Formats: sequence, C-alpha cells, structure tokens
Amino acid sequence: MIAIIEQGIIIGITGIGVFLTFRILDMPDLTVEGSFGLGGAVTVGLIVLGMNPILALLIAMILGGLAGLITGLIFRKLKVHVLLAGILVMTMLYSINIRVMQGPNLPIPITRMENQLTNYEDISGEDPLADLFGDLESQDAKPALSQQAQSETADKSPIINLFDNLRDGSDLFIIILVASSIILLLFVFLKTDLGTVLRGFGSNPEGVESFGMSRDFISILGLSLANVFVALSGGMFALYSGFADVTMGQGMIITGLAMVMVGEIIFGRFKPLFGLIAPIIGGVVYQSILALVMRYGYKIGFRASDMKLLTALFIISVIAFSLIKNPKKRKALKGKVKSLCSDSKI
Amino acid sequence: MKKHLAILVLMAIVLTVGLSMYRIGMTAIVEHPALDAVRQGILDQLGAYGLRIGEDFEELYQTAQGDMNTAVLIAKQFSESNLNLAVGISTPSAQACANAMRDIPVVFSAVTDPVGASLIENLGKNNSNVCGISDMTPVRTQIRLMKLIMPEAQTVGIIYNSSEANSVSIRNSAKETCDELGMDLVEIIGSNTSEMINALNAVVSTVDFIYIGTDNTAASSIAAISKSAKTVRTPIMAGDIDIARGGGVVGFGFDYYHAGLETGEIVYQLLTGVPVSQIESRLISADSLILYVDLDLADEIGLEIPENVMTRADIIVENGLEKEMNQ
Repeated sequence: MIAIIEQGIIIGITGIGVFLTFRILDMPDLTVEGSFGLGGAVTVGLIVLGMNPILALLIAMILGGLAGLITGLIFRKLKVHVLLAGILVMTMLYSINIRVMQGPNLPIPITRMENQLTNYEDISGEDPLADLFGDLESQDAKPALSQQAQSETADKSPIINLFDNLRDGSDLFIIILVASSIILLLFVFLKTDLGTVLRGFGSNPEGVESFGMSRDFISILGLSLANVFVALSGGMFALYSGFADVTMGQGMIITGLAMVMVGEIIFGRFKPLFGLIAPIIGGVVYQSILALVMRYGYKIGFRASDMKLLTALFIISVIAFSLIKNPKKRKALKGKVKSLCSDSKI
Repeated sequence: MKKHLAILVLMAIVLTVGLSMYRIGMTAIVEHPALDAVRQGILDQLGAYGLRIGEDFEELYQTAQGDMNTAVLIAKQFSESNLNLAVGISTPSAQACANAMRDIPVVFSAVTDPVGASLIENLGKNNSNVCGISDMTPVRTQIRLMKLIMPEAQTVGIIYNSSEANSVSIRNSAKETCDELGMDLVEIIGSNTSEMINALNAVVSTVDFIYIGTDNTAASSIAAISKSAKTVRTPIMAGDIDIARGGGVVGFGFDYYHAGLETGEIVYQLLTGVPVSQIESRLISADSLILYVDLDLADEIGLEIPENVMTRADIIVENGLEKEMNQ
C-alpha cells in the first residue's frame, strides 16, 4: 500500500503540470510525454556521472522548463497550434532522450562501474558453429573472457540515490516533503500579481493585455512552468524505479488528465490550494484503482490491456457529466469550440 | 456450534493449503509472443518437475502494457505480496523488480545485457538476490554464417528499434563483427512498424542481406519486412527462430520457449531452497541453439545454401513442410 501512495504522489506531480496547462491555461500540452522522459533521462544521466541526486533533479527541472519554453515559442511565435507544437517537441525529445542516456534505457548502477557484456562468443568462450567456419584451433587458443578482468578497474563507490526502497517510510517522507514544498511554492507564486494574471489567462486570454502583459509571455511562462513539474516528476520516478527508459513518458498525458479529474471529483474545481493538492490525491487514488484492477480485475475477465480504454472512457464520462450538470457551461463551450474552429491555425 | 467448528476446520484447511503453495510473481513489459513463450516455458518446466499450477504453486502474472509506470507499480505490488520469488521478463520489468525487491529472489529472463542493465555485476554467481538467463544471441556467429553462405556479401542491413535496449547491444556486436569481416553495416531504424518499413524500403536494394537480432518491433513487423525484402530478392538472417519462421531464409539462435525452459530450471532450484548466491546467471546454453533453413524461400530468391550448412541444420523447411533434423 505504501508503494501505491509513494508512486501516486510522484506521478501526481505530473498531474500538477497537466492541471496548469489543461485547467488554468486551457491549453492541452503534449510536451508532457517527452519532458517526463527528459526528467528521468537527465536525472539518471547526471547521477551516473556522480552528481548529487537533488542537484540532478534541479537541472532536470530547468531542462524540462526549457522544453516547455520551446513548445511555447513554436506555439506563439510560429503560430502553430499548441497541440502540434507539443507533439513536435515531444518527438524531438524522443531522440534527445536517447542521446542523453546514450541508449534507450539507463539504469542507476549499483556501483560506479560501466560494465557491459561483450558478445555471446567471447563470454561462452566458443563459437557455436566453429566447425563450420573451420577455425576450431584458434577458438581453443582463446580463453573465455574472465568476468573478473572486467571489474578490476571498477570504482566500487556506491551511487547515491534519493530513495532506499526499503519500504520503511523514509522514501515516503522524502516524496511528501518534495511534493508539499513545490505545492507551497506554486501556491505562493499563483498569489503574486504575475500568478493572478496567469490564473485569469485561461478564462479570459484578452484580459491579460489590460494588465500590460503580452499573451505570448503568459502562455510561454505557463508552458515552461508546467513542464518544470513534469520533469521533476519524471526525474523522481526514475530515481524511485531505479532506471530511466525512453518510453517512460508514453501515455503520461492521459494518466495526468485522469489524475486531475479524479482529484476534482474529490475536491471540486478551482479552489486555489486544493486545486494544486487535488492532482496528488488524484494520483494516489488513480494508482490504487490501477493496482486493484490489476490484482482482482482478472476475476471478472478484465485484462491489464483494457486499462487504457477504461481511462479514456473515464475522462470522457467526467467531461460529459460536467456538461450535463452545468448547462451554462455547455453554452459557453459551444461558443468556444466555434471560435477555436475559426481561428485555429496549423 | 458444530457448524462453527466445521467452518473453522474448513478455514484451517484452506489456510494450510494456501500457505503450502509457492507464490510466484511473473511480470512482462508487454504481451508479446516471445515474452509469452518465455512464461509458458517457465510454467512447463515447473510442470515437468511435478509442480502443478494452482496446487503446488500460485502464479501471479501481470503485464505492464508497455507502460513504465505500470511496470514499476506491478513490481512494487509484488514486493508487498508475500512472494517466494519474482520473475521479471524483459529488461524494464526485470529492472523494476530488482529495484523493488531486495529480500526475495528476483529471476530475470529475456534480458540481453543484464550487466549493462545493472541487474547483476557479472555473469556467474553474484552476491545479490538477482539471477537469471540472458538472451544474448550469438551475433558474430550469425553474421559469419551468412558470410559463409554469401561469400560475396559486402553490405549488411541491420533492422532494429533504437528504443529497445536489447537491440542496441546486438547492434554493437554486429558492428564489431562487420568491421572484423570488412563488411559495411547499414542501420535500418524505426521506432514502430511503419517507420521501420519506410527505412527498409529506402535502402533494401543496396544491402546484400538483412540481419535481424531479437528486436521486438522487427519481430512484430516481420511479415511486412519479409515481403519488402522478397521483392528485391534480399535474404533475411534472423537471430531468433520465431522471427526466422516469420520470413527469414536462415535463422540461428534459440526460440524463447527454450529460454523459458532454462529460466524455469532456475526458478525450480530457487523454490527447492537453493540460495540465489549459489545460482549462476548465464547465457542460454549452446544446446538450445537451433539452425533454421527455409529452402523454399531460398529457391524463390535464388540463394544457394552450401552443403555443409545444410548438414548442420536442425530445422529445414522444404515444400511448405517444416522438418526437424535429428543429429
């Protein structure tokens, strides 16, 4: 159970990022799928180089913000639709993440040594078809590569991870500490003048200009800020799971949305502080549902592969319910869809 | 009163039966024929030792649907499920299990480079709770075999998905071998089927043969790959017999069912009380390696298979029939 809470909070931080873009700015940002992986890749990459995990996380957050900044620039300056801008950055990040990790998957090593298996023939000391190639003699002469030889030069000092994975509550403590401090920081920021403008942006983009700020600046700021959180979440997730993988961001946007919506069902919408806590609680609840479904779902013929369908159906039904409950919003939405259709440029 | 006693006795029986059962958690990153075959091999091997599923052991099997978040969640769940041991099939699943569980044995399978993946420090015995079978395939032998069949071959096209850790280590071995043999290696990379086929079509006529290791994406795209290769009469060499069956002319390697059987062997040893530190992590044994030749396809694309290769073949496909050769 403790694992579900830990993972729910970590993933919930992504939920805060999704909440910022989807709910506050009213801009669906798909950069998330790439910046989550970027956070993981950068954090693990730096740790492997010997950096302190907290510093590594901070750098990952900055780079995540940069990814959001680029999405914002493509969106506002090149006038590309925000969805496409996000997809473009996400696609770029796929290649970048592989570059950062120097491969598709980067584990946090137990000790500081870079071992790799060479190839089958060297390890087993024989060519399985040596008789065919007619080089039996030379193979006999070649001794099997000794494993000790590889690790002799290794630096055996341990790598410092933020988490010890001992289920003794210390991981949970660190996670709660990080989550509550960033929520507090974000809350304080949203109370400042700039934060107030940001909060008003989603419902009234034109109003921003009356405060003397440009719409470009606010949307770029919002996208960057959201991806700072997503990268932090990705970095913590990689530390927590012991490795970063290029596919780790896949599906994060839907997971993030589901968490935001679960949180809203519990807390209601748009209460300043609760709005930020809601995705975290939503994350824990979402992970619990996921775990329950995986553990007991098969008894009613449910398969893990159905989870994505259910998540999407859940999001659709939440949207549908909120429309039925609130006829005023239905009209407002109609108007918005019309205006979106008329001025969306791709 | 009697009724209560009966219920109590019944509960006690259920409890003791429940407790005497081994609990094994198995997880794979995705539902995939190769990974499913590993699982089947493990179960069959345990069955061969007389352990019956549902009576002697309970199997918790969950796939992560390609989602890292789910893979980690499954592993963490396993760590709280009173398991006797956990099996992680595929690199990310094994990594997630090894990271989540420090106090029970974790067996990995279908991991090409367990050392590079930080699962173990080196092959052989390790002083940790992790051991297993690497599905490293004899890349050098495979490419040399193809060079033996096609001595004039100069350019090899390797198809793989650059986001699969397994395939990247195979690519590195292939590059090394091609350098040794003085051949050029052309990389045909795609992160999904359509990208892969596009990349293949762009270069297929310039390569002498196509090499596929144990790449999962290539395995799922093998029908399209083989169709594209056949039109320009380029042979495919596969490092995995399941892929070879899907459209390779020559295959040399193992099938994942055998990898599962060997993993099952380790699982059985652990269940009978052998400590993890006494179990050697190793490659798939050379006995499980199979040489596969599809003569029908060879005829069709005009490739001649030398007599000495034919005599070594374990499986020959001729006139649409697969024959197992006993040696």
